[in-house]
Amino acid sequence: MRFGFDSVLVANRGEIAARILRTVKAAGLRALLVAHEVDGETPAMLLADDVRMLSGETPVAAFLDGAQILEAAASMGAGAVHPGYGFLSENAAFARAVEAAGIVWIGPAPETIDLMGDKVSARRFVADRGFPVAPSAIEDDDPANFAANARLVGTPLLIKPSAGGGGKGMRIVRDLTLLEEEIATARSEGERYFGDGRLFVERYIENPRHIEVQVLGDGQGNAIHLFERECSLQRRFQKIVEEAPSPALSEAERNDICEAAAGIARACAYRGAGTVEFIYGTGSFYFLEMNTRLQVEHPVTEAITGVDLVAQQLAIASGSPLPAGQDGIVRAGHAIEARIYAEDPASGFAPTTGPVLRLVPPAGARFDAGLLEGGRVHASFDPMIAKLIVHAADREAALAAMDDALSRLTLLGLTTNIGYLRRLLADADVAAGRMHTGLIAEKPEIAAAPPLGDETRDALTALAALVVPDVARRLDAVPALHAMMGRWQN
Amino acid sequence: MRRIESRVSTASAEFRANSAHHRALAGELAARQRAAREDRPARDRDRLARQGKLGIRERLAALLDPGTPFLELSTLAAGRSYGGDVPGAGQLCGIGIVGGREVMIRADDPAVKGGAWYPHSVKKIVRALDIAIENRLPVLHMCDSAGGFLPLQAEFFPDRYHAGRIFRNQSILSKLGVPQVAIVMGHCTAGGAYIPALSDYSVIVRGTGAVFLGGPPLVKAATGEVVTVDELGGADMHTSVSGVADYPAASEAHGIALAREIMASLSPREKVRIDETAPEPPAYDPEELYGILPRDNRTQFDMREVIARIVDGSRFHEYQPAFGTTLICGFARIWGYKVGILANNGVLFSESALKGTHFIQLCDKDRTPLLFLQNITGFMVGKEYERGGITKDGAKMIMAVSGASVPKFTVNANASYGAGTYGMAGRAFDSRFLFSWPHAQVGVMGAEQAANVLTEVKMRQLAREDRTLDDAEAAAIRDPILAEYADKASAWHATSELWDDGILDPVATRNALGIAISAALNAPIADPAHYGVFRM
Amino acid sequence: MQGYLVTGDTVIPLALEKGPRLPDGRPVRLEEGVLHLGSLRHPVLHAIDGDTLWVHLDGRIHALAWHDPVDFHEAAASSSGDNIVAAPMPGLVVRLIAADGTAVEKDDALLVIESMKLETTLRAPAAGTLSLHVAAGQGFERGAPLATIAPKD
Repeated sequence: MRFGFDSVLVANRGEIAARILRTVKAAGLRALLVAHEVDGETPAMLLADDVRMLSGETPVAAFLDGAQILEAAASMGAGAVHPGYGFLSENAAFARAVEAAGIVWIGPAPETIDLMGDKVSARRFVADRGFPVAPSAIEDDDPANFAANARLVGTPLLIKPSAGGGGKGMRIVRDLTLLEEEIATARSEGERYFGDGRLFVERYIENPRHIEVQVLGDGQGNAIHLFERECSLQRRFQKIVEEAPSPALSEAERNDICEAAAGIARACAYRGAGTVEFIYGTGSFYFLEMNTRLQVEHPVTEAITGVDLVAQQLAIASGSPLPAGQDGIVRAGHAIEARIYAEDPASGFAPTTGPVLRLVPPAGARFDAGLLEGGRVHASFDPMIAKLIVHAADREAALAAMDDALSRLTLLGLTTNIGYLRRLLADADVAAGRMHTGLIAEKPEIAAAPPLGDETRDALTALAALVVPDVARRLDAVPALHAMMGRWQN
Repeated sequence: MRRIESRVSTASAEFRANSAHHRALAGELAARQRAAREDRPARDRDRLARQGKLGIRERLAALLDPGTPFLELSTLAAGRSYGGDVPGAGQLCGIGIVGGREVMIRADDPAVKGGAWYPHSVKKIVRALDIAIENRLPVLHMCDSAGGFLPLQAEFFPDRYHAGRIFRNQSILSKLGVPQVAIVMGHCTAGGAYIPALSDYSVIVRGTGAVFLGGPPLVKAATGEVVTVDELGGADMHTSVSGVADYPAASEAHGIALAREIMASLSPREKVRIDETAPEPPAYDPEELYGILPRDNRTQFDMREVIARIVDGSRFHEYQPAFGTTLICGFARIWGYKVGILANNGVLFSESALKGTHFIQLCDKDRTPLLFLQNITGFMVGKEYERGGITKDGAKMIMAVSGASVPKFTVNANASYGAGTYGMAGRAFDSRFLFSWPHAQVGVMGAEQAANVLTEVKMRQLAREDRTLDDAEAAAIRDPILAEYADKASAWHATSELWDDGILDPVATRNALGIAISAALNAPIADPAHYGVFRM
Repeated sequence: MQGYLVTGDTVIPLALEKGPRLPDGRPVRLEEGVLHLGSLRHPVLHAIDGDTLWVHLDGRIHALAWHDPVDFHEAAASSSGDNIVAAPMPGLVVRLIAADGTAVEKDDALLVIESMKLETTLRAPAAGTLSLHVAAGQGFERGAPLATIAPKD
């Protein structure tokens, strides 16, 4: 495999930086990294051949500082930059700056980022080419009558910020009397989160399922899909569990959705790996948005297709053709990914921090993590700390494998959602595949851990006696004779 | 030491009859103790619950280290007084482990007459503190008392060993460096106020605990001042203003946890080391004691058989086995501790008295504690024996018992009469602990003997008047005496009057002694005694 | 007893016996990652961080906070009522540190007082919501209530 560069700088952190660097090294390329000192030692740092430290007003700001990252790239002699996901991955200005510096950008053309980054323009592009979109009202089209047009979309409707993404700033309206108020709130949130208060409104499908399709395009107008993923298990628009393929789709529906996605990728001459997100509700689906980057949940697609998506990104960025024609992409089995979050389900999923005292991933499952045993989870970044992925012959076997893997995953030192994930996947509706994006919100009781059984209480008591010094010391203080005599009274 | 060879036939009719009899007695003991410990009027239980107070047994359970034994003393004190309305004299005393330390626990029971002090209550408290002094045991007081029972004040206030002795004993404990921790869980009024004040550490529970020399009613009567319980003597005032108490506790559970923490943080004292090995249970089943002991106190039995069911491995090294055979002397181990045992197999003769005297001195030199297993009706009487000097030989034994430096432990295993009681370390002779078995008798002489003596006296008197005793008159003399003795010589009476430290089920004796010996070793053993003069 | 293990809303009292043994008498031991309770075996992984015991047992992860018995009972009782921060001696308020109406944790610094040329920082006796009753520069007598901590609901 000939690449157009001999080194790749990953402008990211955590689990994705390590995952990307693994493929970079396997491809025989030099692995370069930027990092923030607050992360301490990480799996990505252990893999990197060279590292530059970033600084900023906040650690997040450091990873959004394109100029600093380019400086680091130059100083390390990076031949290419891979932005991962989040941060600057969908920042067209940064992509342009990278290319202007003569460094290969592992991602789509900046114009594509612009096109798909603006939700309104993306929607218009897709609709104009005959792909399905939800009834909507776009403020830019008719600002004076926006509220009136929104009212026409009908309830339930979803107010979304044009510049938004990743679920932020969206508001569901079921009662039209609240429409103006909700528009005002959404606008101010849009300004606050994205620096842009423009909105659009879409019909909201009740109990929708979130289906997305992985695509690869060669930048020449050719594109293939690698089947779909279902990401309906979400809490406040944050994905928690993803799977491939979706249990909701018939083969015909699968074909329709995936072909639509590939068609969209072809239509914009997409280059590299991308994901087209749809909203699906019994028999109909609408384009939601296109993410012009690698997604968090890409491993489930890799599992069922056997394709290393990062390797494909590197290849396509070097001008190579697509790995196969559409017929050459075959799926096998069922894969599930569970996102491990540093949060406490019992306290409203409040983020948690703490030392990673023990980390033992379960053998037989894929575990992509941004932490090492002995490291520390801190509050500076996103609370997602790892992903656990299983692949089995069918969905039932995959659910069983995931439950088994979660039970064997040891992560001690901070509270996580591991127990919550097991309970979620054991839910009857989830097990039956009857999922929708509101399911988790409808089942808040899953957050409560079941009470401890007697044997568990005894085991915990026993362990405390053996390993907690304060407990052991009090026990040792009892004189030998009396300990031997035990609980005797005359 | 060689194992005692038992010659008892456990299948014999005699054994089985004895066994049934003593098992029943042990059952009666258990029932009486259960009732004395737990039966409380509903009205008193309800009052405690309303006040947010724990019962005395719950307080004890929270106080003791889990999985440790508790030796309760004088459970049945005052059982035959005050119409039976003051079980245990309203006090709980016993030796337990708190924070890893052996301590004497002494608690008022607020569910018994509000924890008021009756004459027997004061006697029980004084005895508990005497034990603490003699054995250098830290004391943990749980104070919750309505104060002295005034109608009987003449019987618990003025005399030397009455209530004042409690506070004198507390002061002496402190002088000896033996710590006392008090948890004030109710009122400590008048004299009772001195218990926490004289304790080295005191915890006081907010809301229910109060310490004052005079309560609000008395204060109002005396000076007209109107003041609440809390203002006058509550936890916050005493722990932040007056300094009478040290630690305020937010609840009883908090107070008990604090007291445990205090006990655990006291510097450990080195205990006396005596000859000690790993313990071993007796080779014979201790329950066989029920079959060995007689149904009638006058029936003889072999004390070796009793020893064999109490000591480690049933092993016993007998001293002077061929001499003075009515007193068995020898070494054995109980829970690993080597002890010297003196046990009666008949009346005491000169030879047995001399043997006992010699053996006590051997144990004193050897720093071996002494265990007296009493079954003694007295010394031998008669011309031959008086001429042989039995009185002076008995005196020598009493001199040795009185002067010995090593700790003494006494168990009345059947009978304890007359001067034999003295020679065998009866109550007056400072045993660290003295226990009775349920069937045991104690008195100046046996009931029959006393009846005979008095009948004999009456007959002589009548003979001077040229009369004889007819059957009715004889019965009129005998029957009341026998009844009096049956009443007052029984273990139930002795324990009610605190002439012992409690009645033990014979099977429980081994454990009780193990705890007692361990407790005793907290006090130094003086150098072997300079005895008084042995009348040679 | 040896304290309390608290996890979430569950409180497990520790009343073990020397051995160690569970209250039901079963002896326990830990050997090479296996916890033996009598004849039952539980593979287990654990780590201790201060007073928190982290355990992976039978497929479930637990975070157990060990509480000293005195601390536990004291907290249990104080959580049921207001805690008043009273002036330990007469003096002057130098400056306020925590803001009125805010949530404070146990031992958080609340205000600095001065008396006899000595400055003392007064700390919260328990967690809860702070009400300040004094301002900077204000004088007070011994025992005066300077602040109250109302328990969290």
